[in-house]
Parts: sequence; C-alpha cells; structure tokens
Amino acid sequence: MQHPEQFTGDQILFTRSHIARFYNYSGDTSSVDTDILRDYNLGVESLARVRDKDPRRSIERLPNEILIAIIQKAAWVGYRGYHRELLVLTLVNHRWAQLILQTQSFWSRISLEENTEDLEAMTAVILELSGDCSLDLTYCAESDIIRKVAHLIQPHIHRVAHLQLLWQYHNPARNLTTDPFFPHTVFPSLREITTHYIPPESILLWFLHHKAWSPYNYVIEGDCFYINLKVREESLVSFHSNMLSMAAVQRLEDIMTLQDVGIFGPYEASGDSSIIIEERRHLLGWEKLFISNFPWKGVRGILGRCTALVSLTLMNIDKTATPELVEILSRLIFLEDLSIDLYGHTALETSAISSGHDNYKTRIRTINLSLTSDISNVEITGDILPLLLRMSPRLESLSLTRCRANKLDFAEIDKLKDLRKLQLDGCESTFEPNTTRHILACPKLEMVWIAGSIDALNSLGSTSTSKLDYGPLMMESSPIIEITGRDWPSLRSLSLHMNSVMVYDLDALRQLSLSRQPLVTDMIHYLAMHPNELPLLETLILQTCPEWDILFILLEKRLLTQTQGVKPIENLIFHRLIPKRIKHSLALLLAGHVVSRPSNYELSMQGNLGIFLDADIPGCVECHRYLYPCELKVLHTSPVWSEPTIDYPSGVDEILRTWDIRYVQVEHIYNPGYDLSHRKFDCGRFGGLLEVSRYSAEDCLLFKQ
Amino acid sequence: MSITIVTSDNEQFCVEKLVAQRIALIEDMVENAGDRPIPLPNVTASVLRKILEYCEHHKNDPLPPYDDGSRSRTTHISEWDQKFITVDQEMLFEIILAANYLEMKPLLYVRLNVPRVQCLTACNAVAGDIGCKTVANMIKGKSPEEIRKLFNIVNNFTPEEEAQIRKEAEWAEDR
Repeated sequence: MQHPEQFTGDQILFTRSHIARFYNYSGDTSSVDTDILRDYNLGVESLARVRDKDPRRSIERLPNEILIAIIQKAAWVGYRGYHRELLVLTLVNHRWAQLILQTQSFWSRISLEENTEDLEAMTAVILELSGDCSLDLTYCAESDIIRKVAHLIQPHIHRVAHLQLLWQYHNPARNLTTDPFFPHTVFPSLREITTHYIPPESILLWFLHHKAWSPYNYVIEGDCFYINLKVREESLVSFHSNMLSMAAVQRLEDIMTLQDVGIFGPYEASGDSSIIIEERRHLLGWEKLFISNFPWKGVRGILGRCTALVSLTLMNIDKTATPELVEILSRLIFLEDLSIDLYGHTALETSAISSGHDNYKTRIRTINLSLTSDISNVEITGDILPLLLRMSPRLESLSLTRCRANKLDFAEIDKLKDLRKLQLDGCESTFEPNTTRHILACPKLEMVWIAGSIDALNSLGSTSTSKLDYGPLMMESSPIIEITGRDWPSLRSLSLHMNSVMVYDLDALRQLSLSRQPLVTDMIHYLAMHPNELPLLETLILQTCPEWDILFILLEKRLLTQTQGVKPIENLIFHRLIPKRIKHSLALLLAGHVVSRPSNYELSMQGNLGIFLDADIPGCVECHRYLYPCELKVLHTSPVWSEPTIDYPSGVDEILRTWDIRYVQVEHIYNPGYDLSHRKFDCGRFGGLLEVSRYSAEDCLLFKQ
Repeated sequence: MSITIVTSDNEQFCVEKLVAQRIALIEDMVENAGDRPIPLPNVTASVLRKILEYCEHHKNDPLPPYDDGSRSRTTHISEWDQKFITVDQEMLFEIILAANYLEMKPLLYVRLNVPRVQCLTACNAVAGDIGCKTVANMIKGKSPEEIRKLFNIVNNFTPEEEAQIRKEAEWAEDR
C-alpha cells in the first residue's frame, strides 16, 4: 500500500469519504478505523507541507521596500494600537524585526492617551525609534499625561510637523496656563496644527510665536471649536474652522495660496453672516471646499467664483436653493467629488429645475446626496437627483441618504456605465407593491450597500454586483428577507447586520459576514443542516459568538460530506479572542484534519450552563459565551434561571433537529433582560480581529508515529 | 497603434499602446525602441498576461487624487481588483515583483513626493499596491507563528532570543 505521505489529492478525497461513513460528529473519532484515520491525517499534513514549503510561496522573496509597505498597511489599525501591532510583527523573524525597528517613519506618530501602559517608557522608545523623522504629536492640553512625558518630548520639539491638541472636557479654564508647550513653545518645523475646543486666546498667542503662522491670526474668530491649518513654504494652503461672518470669509478669500478651505458657519444664521459686505468678483483658486451651516446667499457668492474646484461638500443647504445650486454645479468643470446635504420643510416644485441642464456633462465621479426633511410621503428627491445623474455620466460612486427613489430614478441610475458603488442609507423605494424587482443595469456595478428599510433591499437586484452589505436601521419585525442567486448571481461577498435572513443559490459567494447574535446562530445552524449550500464559501466572519457545538458540526459536515464543487471553509474571522484549545481544534479542522475534539455537549451553551450560573466563577457574559477566561467579578450572586426542559441529545441529527428549542431556553438564561443578569455583559478586554485558518494550528507533527 | 513586448520565456505580446503605457517602464522604453519589440527579461508570460489584464481594465481610469499619505495606510481594495488579485500565493508574489520591476507602484510618488503630472503612469497603474494590500490583509489578525507558516518564513531567532522576546511581549501572545 502507498505510504500516506505520498497521497495525492484524489486519494485524500477518497479516504475522507470513507471516514465520513463512520464518523458521527460527536467530537470522538473512535468510531473510525484508527489506521485509516492516521493515514488520512498524515496524508493531509504531508500535502500541506509540500505546498507550504514551496520557496515560491515565501514572502522572503520580496525586497525590503515592498515588505515595509506591506507591514505598514498590515499594522495600521487606526492611531490606537498601531505601535502594538508593529511590535507583534517584530516577533516574526530577524529580518522583520530589523525592518520594523529601523524604519523611522513607522514610529513618527505619538498619540498620548490615558490608560497607556508604561507611558514614559513607551514614549521614550518611540522617540528613539523615530530617529530624526518628523513627528506627528497628539495630546490633551494641560493633561497629566503631557506633563509626565514633557521632559522626553522637549528635545524633539524641532521635529514636530503636525501638532494636534485636544481639550479636556472637565477643564473649565478659558486659557492655557499650565500646559508645558502650548501656547508659548515654538515648533520650528510645524506644517500643520489641529485643535479641538482650545480657547482662541491661546491659539492667537501661539500664532504670535510662529513666524510662518502669525500673518494669519486675523482669520481666527469665534469659539474655534475646531481648527485645522496647513502651511507649505510659509504660505497657508489649507484652512478649516468656524467663521461667524461674511467679513471673515472675505478675509480668507484674500489669501491667494489657499487650496483647501473648510468653513463651519454659525449653527443659527445669526450675527452678520447673512449680510454681504461688499460684492466680490475676483476668482478663487480653491480646489477643495467644505461649507457647513452657512446661508445660501453667502455660499452662492463663493461658489460662483470658484473655477478650480475638484471637491465640494455643502452641508445644511436650504432645499429652495436647489435650482441655483444645479446651475452653478453645471459650470464647475473640474469637479469630481460632490457631497450635498439638503434640508427643507416644503416640497420643491419639480418644474423649477427640471429643464435646461440636461445637456451639461460634468466630470463628477462621486456624489453623496443627503436629505433632511420633516415632511413625509413627499417625493423630495424627484427634483435634484435625476438632474445630478444626467449631469454626471462618469459617475463611479453614488450615495443617497434619506432619499425616496422611484422607478424613474433607478432608470437614470441604470444609464451610468461607470457606476461601481451604490449606497442607499435610510432610503425608501417608492415602487408599487408586488411590482417586479428592479435589476440594476449598470454593467460595472460592483458594490451595493443598503442600510434602512427592507423594502429597498427587496426591490433591487444586480447581475454584476459582487459585494452586498445590508443592515436595517432598526430591528423591525420584518417580512422574510431573501437574498438569492437569481437576483444577485455574481455575489462573492455578503455582509449582513440583522436578525434573520434566507439565502438561496448564492453559488459564487466566497465570503459571508454575519453580525447580531440571532443571525449568527441561525445561519450556522442552517449551514450545518445544509452543508452543500454556498458551495464556494471560503471565509466566514462572525461578529458575535457562535454556538460552538453547531459550528464544529457545520465545519465537519462541510469537510466530510463534500460533493463535487463544494469547498471546505478555509478561514474563520472572529471579532474577539477565543480560547487557544478551541482555536487549535478549529485550525486542524480547517486544515482538513479529522481528529478528536471536545464533545458537542462540552462546547454547547447548555453544557456550560453550570459554570455560567456558578456565582463563584468570575467573568462577563461574553467571555462565558466564548469560553474565554475572564476575571470580571459577578454583579450579584442570584442568577435568574429556570431549568431547560430538554436534555442535550447524544446524536447529531437530534442536536440539529431540536436546536431551536434549546437555544431559546438557554439564551434566556444567558441573556435574561436588561439589568437582570448576575454578570456584566462584556468586560471589553478581549476585542480585536482574530483569524483562524489552517496556519493557526500549533506546530503539529501530531500524526507522526 | 500597438507595440510588441517579449517576455523572459520568449513569448511575444502585441499590446495596444494605450494599455502598455499604463506601465511606466514600458512608457519610458517605447520612445527609444522605435518599431523594435520591447524585452522584459524579468517577467514571464503568465505574469505579464495578468498585468496586462489589469492595465486593460484600468486603461481609462483618471488620475487618482493627490495622496497625503493616508491612502498608503488603507487596505481597501475595489471589488474588481480583489477578483483580479485572487490568485495563488506564488502568482501573488510574482505580480508584486513584476509591478515593482515595471514601476507600477503608486508608492513611488507618495514617498518621493513626485509632482502629480510627472508621475501619471506610475500612479495610475497600481497592481503593486493592490498586491501589497492583499498581502497586508492576509497578515492582519494573525499571530507571528501563523504568519511564518503562511508565508514560509524561517524563524531564525535563537531559542534564547525567542524566549526573551516572548517574555517582553506577553501581551501579544493572546492571538
């Protein structure tokens, strides 16, 4: 007989189908012939080793500059945790450690936050590793944290290129007097400053100390809840802050070097913001413009003179301004990105803007249109949306928020040959009941993202879309949601945020992401019952805890009952840490091994009920669900519970058949309702992305004799 | 108008000029080559076929906006690109290496601060960047040991070094 280490893929499949006839999905493999099982596992491991040890698969082939780019992207998890991720990656090998520790730009960001362990040591290490690289420093003004590390930062002040200052909400002072750096310290290399709720008096004082910035102190006014300024070669190129008056805006217009402007108007149109001091005629070379809460008259005066705009965002624009706005937009010939947030209390006469602009063709590639209205049942997008769509034949991304879209709107969307992304947030479709589903005809449409009424999802389909993301705004008692291969035949990735759904014939689906407890539980049970559904599914992302027993049964069934064209699942992604022994068992299974594992009962919620109810054992509810050790003390010692009326079955068919009765009863004990549980819901300590794949198994020449 | 490219395994590709010019290296060579075929001694036919598939799809793409550095940190990949880059690991690295050789990496203009106009071709063709993002996504959420296995990396820390590192980074051991 052939040695198992020389097994081919076909022989593995043949042996696996033999094992499937004897294995009972209990976690105990003693019902399978020991020799066959050993040979099978050896064969699987041997095949994997040959594949994995192929030098052509090694990342070590890549030059340093590419590996650095990869590591930077891999470690980036937002400002928080970035350095932690980098340090984890130094553990890979010498080369990675050297690259990470010697790439100064990796360490150029210093964000001083509370609850940072070893704050001083960590700050010193980052400053050392950043070498002579420019720094991006963020801290809370006058906080204890900045005082603790000020002596470490002081020698590096000349390297700070971006300073971000936050204000402590509990600090009632109106001036910074005790901060170690602001406003008296000169930052000679500063190119960008961002402040949040820093008193304007302090900002103005700081300006006086800085040669490059002092000429611009006259543009600062009001409470300055937010300021972001950038200079390049001592010229102001970017300004974002609040402006109380048109006079202030006009001062801004006189700064000829500005390219990026953000104006936050007063929350109420008060003061003199609605008064035009003098009619300006000179053109503005601004490329990016953001305006929020400013009277339309002022906005119109500015927009009419912007000839170079590439990106435009208008927030809180009165809907009655729509005709003039469309007129202006048609003249912005360089515009590529457009965001408009309209509000209004009355429906606009469609005829006012429905003609005359159809022939204008802009370069617009992105549109975000958001509507706020207190009128219900009014076709409030009938006016502007079709016009914008007709003006934008090159549109690639369309996002609509709180819009009502009808058949005609979708007919216009269908004409967009380059549209790749469609986002509907809180939108309703106004299709007649029982009309046929609208299959979007845009040939390049790749991604559809829907949040809001189920109606919008049930009204649409697409033959080209490969990624669909859906979540209702509220957990309504909904009609059955069906996502089928007939309506979405090219779907490769599906993300769902709801309580229940039915999926059929999604034969191209590779990745399924599930959030919310009932959905995760329900879908895993469904797939365990129908292991041939979603035949190409490779990656399952579980944003809440699965029932471990059912998940293991699903994975084993998927592996062992493989028919032609059905792939085993390769990756599981959790949004929380899981116990090592479960991770190891899952990894072996994902690698194709069939080995003994904890029994279904041991893994089940019911099997762990005793531990959960024992008030002497600490831990939050989530950690108990994940079977993860947790030291969080219980809230009280009187758990609410009633004995489940059904025993945990011994056979797999019965486990799956009676699953829903058990789930309801046990779930009620784990989650008895607000304020009733004897455990806090989540300790919040073990979150984070965790992927389990065949590479997660601990080094196992387990099957070697 | 088309040009001819010859790969390392001696296969000839007749490519529309508009498509080939998405590759910075070729754009530079076209002017000097005249009607002669352009040799690519570091790229095999199977890899060039993939690269050209990418260039063909993106041939009409406009110039990406100026990158202030934030783009280079993100790992989002468009759906078409994701489908394009769904290849086995060997091919993935071949594409990255070829994109690097062919100067198809937007990182060039981000890092070197090359003005937008001068780097049109370099930043339009982003196969290298997509490859890097794909590998980065494969790394996210994995432990060092998993990364070693996945990418066939030899752990060359001495036992003492590894013990010391593990001790210093116990907090990282959870995953």
